[in-house]
Formats: sequence, C-alpha cells, structure tokens
Amino acid sequence: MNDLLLNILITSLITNTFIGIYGIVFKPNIIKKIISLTIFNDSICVLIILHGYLGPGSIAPIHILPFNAGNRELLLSYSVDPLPQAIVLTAIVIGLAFTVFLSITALRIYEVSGSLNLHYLLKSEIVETVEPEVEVMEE
Amino acid sequence: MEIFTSYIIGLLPLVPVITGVLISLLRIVVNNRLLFNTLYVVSTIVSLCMGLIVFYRVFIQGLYGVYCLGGWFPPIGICLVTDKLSTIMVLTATVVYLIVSIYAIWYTRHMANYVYFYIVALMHEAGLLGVFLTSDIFNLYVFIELAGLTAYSLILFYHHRLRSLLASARYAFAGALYTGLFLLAIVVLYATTGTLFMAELLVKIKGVELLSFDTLLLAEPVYLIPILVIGLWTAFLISALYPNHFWLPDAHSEAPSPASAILSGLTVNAGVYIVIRLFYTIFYGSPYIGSLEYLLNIVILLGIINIVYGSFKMAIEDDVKRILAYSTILNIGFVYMGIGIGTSLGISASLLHLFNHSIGKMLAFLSLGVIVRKYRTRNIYALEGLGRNHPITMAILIVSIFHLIGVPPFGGFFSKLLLFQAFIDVGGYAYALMVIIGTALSIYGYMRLIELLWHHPIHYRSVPRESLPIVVIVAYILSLIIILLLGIFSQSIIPLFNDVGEQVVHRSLEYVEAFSRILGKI
Repeated sequence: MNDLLLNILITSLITNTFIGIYGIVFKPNIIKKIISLTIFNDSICVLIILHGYLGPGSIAPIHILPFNAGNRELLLSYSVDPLPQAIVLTAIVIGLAFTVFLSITALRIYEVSGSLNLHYLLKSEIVETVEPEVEVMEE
Repeated sequence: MEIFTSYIIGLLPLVPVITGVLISLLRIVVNNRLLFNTLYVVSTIVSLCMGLIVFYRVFIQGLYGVYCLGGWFPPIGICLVTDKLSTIMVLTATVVYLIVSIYAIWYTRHMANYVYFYIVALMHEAGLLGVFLTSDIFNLYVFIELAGLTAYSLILFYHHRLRSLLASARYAFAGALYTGLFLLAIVVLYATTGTLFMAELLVKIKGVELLSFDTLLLAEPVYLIPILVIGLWTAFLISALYPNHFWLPDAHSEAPSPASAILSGLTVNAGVYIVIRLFYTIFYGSPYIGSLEYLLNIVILLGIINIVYGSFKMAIEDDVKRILAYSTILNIGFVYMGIGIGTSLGISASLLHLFNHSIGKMLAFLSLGVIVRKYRTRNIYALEGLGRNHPITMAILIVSIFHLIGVPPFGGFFSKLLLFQAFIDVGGYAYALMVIIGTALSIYGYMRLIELLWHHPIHYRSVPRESLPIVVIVAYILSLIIILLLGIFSQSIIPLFNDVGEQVVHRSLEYVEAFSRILGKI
C-alpha cells in the first residue's frame, strides 16, 4: 500500500514537472509563466526531498537517545538523509529570488507596454520612443 | 605563505560582495559619487592583485591553493580550489572587470541610479569568480544562479525600454528552466555516487584507486549520461551554443555598454568553464559510460553551426551592438570546436581563443559604446560616417576587431593558428578548413561595421579633434597593452595554455591532489 502511494506521488510529481515545463514554454501570459515556474521548482524540490526519505518509521537526523555506538547505528539506519533537505532550502530561496525578479519584470513590462502577452510582444516589431543608452536622471 | 594564498582564494569572491554591500549601505547615508567610484575601482584593483597572486602561485611556483569555507574540510564542507584551469578563468575575469569598472565611471557620469549598476556588477563578479573557484557541484549551481540573476538585472538596467525588459525576461525564463533541470541532475548525481564534492566525484566516476576515498562500484551508472547531457545543456545556454543561442543578441545589445562588455566577455566564459570541468575533469575516460566521442562530435557540429549562423547574421544586421553580439556567437563556435577535438592542444587552443575573445570583445563594446552614447542611436545607417569624428575610438575599435578576426600582429591570430594545428594533428582536415572558412565568412560582417562607420561622408565636414575623458583613455590603453602583449609574447603564452590543456585532458587527477594538504596523503 505504501509503495503504491509513493509511486502515485512520484508519478504525479513528474507529471507536475512536465506541466511546469509546458507552462513556461507555451503559455503566453507572463504571470502564468511565473506560476508554471513555481510549480516546476516546487515539484523538483519535493522530488529531491523524496530521495532522502527512507520509508515509514524514519526519523529526523537528531540525537535524542544517549550517545553510544548502538544508538548511533540505530540513528544511521533510521534517519532520513539531511543533505537533500539542505539543498531544497537553498533551492527554495533561489526560487523566491527568481519569482520576485520575474514579478517585478512583469510589472514593468505591463507599465511600459500595457500587455502581459510575452509571445505577442516578442513577435511584434517594437518601435521604441526612448533612445538607446539614454541617461536615467530620475530615481 | 600557503595560509596567505588560502586566504586570498577565500577573499576572491568575497571582496566584490563586501564592496557591493558596503556601497548599498553607504548609499543610505551619503550620496558622494567620488566615494562610490573609488570603492568600485579599488575593489576591482584588489581583485586583480589577488588574481595575479594566485596566478603566480599556480603557474610560476606550481602550487595549487585550497580554501575551505568555515573551516569544514571536504567531503563535509565546501572548498574553493585553484587549479590551472580556474586560475586562467579568474585572471580573465579580474582583468576584464578592472577595465570595465574604469570605463563605467565615465559611462555612468550623468546617471542618478549609477549605484545600482555598481552593486549588481560587483555581485555578478562574485558569482562568476565563485563558479570558477568552487569545488562542490551544488555550490556551483548556487553561484550559477547568483551570476544569472545579476546578469538578468544588468540587462534590464534601462528598465523604461520595452526591448531590454523583454530580452531580460526571455533570458530569465530560459535560465530558470534550465537551472531547475540542472538541480534535478545534481541530485540524481548525488543519488548515484553519494557525494557532491567534485574531487570525490572524479575519483568515483573515473574509478581511480586512491587511499583516502572509498572506491565502491557505482550503483546505477546508467544515469551518468543523462546527468552529463543535462549539465552540458545548461552550460550551452550560458555560453549560447546553437540551439540555446536565442537570448544572446537581444540581451547583449540591450544592456548598457559596460554591461555588454561584461556579459559578452565573461558570462559566456562561465558556460565554457562548466563544460570543460564537467566533461573533462569529471566524466571523460570513465569506465562506466564508455567512449564519449559522439558527444564531442556533436559539440564540434554545434560549434560549426554557431560559426556559420553568427557570420551570416552579422552580415545582414543593422544594429551595431547586435553585430558584436552575433560575433560573440561566432567566436563561441570556435571555442567549442576546440573543446570537441578531445586533445590537450584543442583545449589549450580554445582556452586561448576564449581569453583573446574576452579582451577583444570587451574593447570592441567599450569603444563602440563611446560612439553609441554620443549619437544616441544604434542603427548602422544612422551612424554612417560618424566614426570620423572619433578617430581615436575608431582606431581602438579597428584594433579590437582585427584582434577578433585574427590579423597577425594581434593575439587572435595565434589562437586560431593553434586551433588549426590542433585539427591538423588529429587529421581533421575538413574541420581545419572550416576554421579558415569561418574566419573568412566573418570578415564581411566586421568590415561592414568598420566601413560604414568610417564611410566618407557625402557632405564634407572638417574633422574635429576628439576629446576623450581620462578614464576612457586609461581603459583603452590598458586593454591595448594587453592585446599587443598577447600578440608579441604569444610564443611564451602558448606554453602556459598548453600546460592547462595537458592538465585538463591527461592529468585530471591533479585536481584531487590539490586537496592533499588538507585531506592528508591521497
């Protein structure tokens, strides 16, 4: 039963990853692209966490029993791998930075062009009213 | 002395970060342009000095340096290490950053938000130096993201222009997608080998018997090829190899000129470095995955496509900065052709070409930036004949372009000659011919740029004397000296690069031996 649930989880996560890739590549709206990126990153993060998971009965890698050789072996055999969790923490922070950056970019694109359709904007011939290499005087 | 070098290596990525944070904090209380300019330039000068010290230690004395972050030794902690490959990359980065920072003082002289340019450029430098120095593959991912996010921010510095916003958004989405997959590949690599420390990965994947590592047989070597391919694919995006080149022309032309020089001269180097590190240092010659010749052939083929595509697009482009951006794609094609040979001479040729390209492309963007900044347009027909008003800048531009084409007195010639020799050595005469054909194809695009800028005007004008600010002259002179030295002393520079190529291809265990001081006997 547990294996079946895990398999369902892994399948759905991989499907999620592909949905995220599809959204980033094919959805024209920038906001939808950002949402797809979040889905993609989070599915990958959960997949990574799953690598450290040992099955039912696994514990956090913290010493609570008295420290001796037997307890150490017990801890090593039952604790989850902490490294994927550390990786995921870093990846989440980086994902947050990406989301913030892309949201601000989307906001600026909407303010400048009045549209959020990235594919349309990339295809259309843009006639810039502002000169290139202009001096930015205001803050 | 060893401790001293160790601290130098630790400080290399840290100095730009400290300066950036210091500038952003000082900005709250004071608004003194001289102070910020001084801080920015001094930090890049310090970086260059540290790069030279590391270069002296590694190349003259032959000692590799290691700095372990937080005092934690590998495989638990993360270490920064300088072998010959990373030293060359660090030296390129620090030289380019010094010259660009001097130029940026002039470029941002009327901007109110120049501080943000300095901060982001410094963070980008930290990210790049981290990519070149780190010895932990997950830390490599973190530094790629740092360099990437700052690169996207540099591209949209003119955030009231729609084009730069779109260029940045497109690059950012592609970068986020690729690096996400790279993260997954890293974790699969961890699941396969049980480590993220590059030296241990090398030992385990190549199956070398060493005392201080347990060389267990890998559980699932089947996954090694997909991991390698995803890693290389991410690096191809960073260095704009053919199917992943789509972001480069927009991004490099829409950025401010100093940022274009940084992105075009250095950020692509990070991709090439990752390819060499992953492919040659970790995976090449592994008993688990067999011969990788077919991957090398694909790399050569993509390089040739890059060359042909870049030279044809250069010939029909109307935007002066986009011409130089396509020239980056073209030169990256030459670099990847060298990587794809698979011999030490090929690696040294491609690294020398990368170094030449960094200096030449930086100088081309800087000198073109003077003209573009003055006339406020990038259209080549609007700029027709206007180069005559800037004789010094045009001379510098012509020198840098001759350097990029490979006209004999300058350094670019010798790297292409070395590439040619590398192909002749392995009997790839068609590829060797392709180097010459690619150069010939590219000449039209470069010459069109020079000819139209220097075209004799229909209405005769008296040529005014060009008055350049002192910082731009300093930047010109510094890079001119480097280009001339690369040409004149090429016979003494080429052995250095041959040494790097030898180390990368044949002596990759030296990377592990660099850690012998802290890990004990290996």
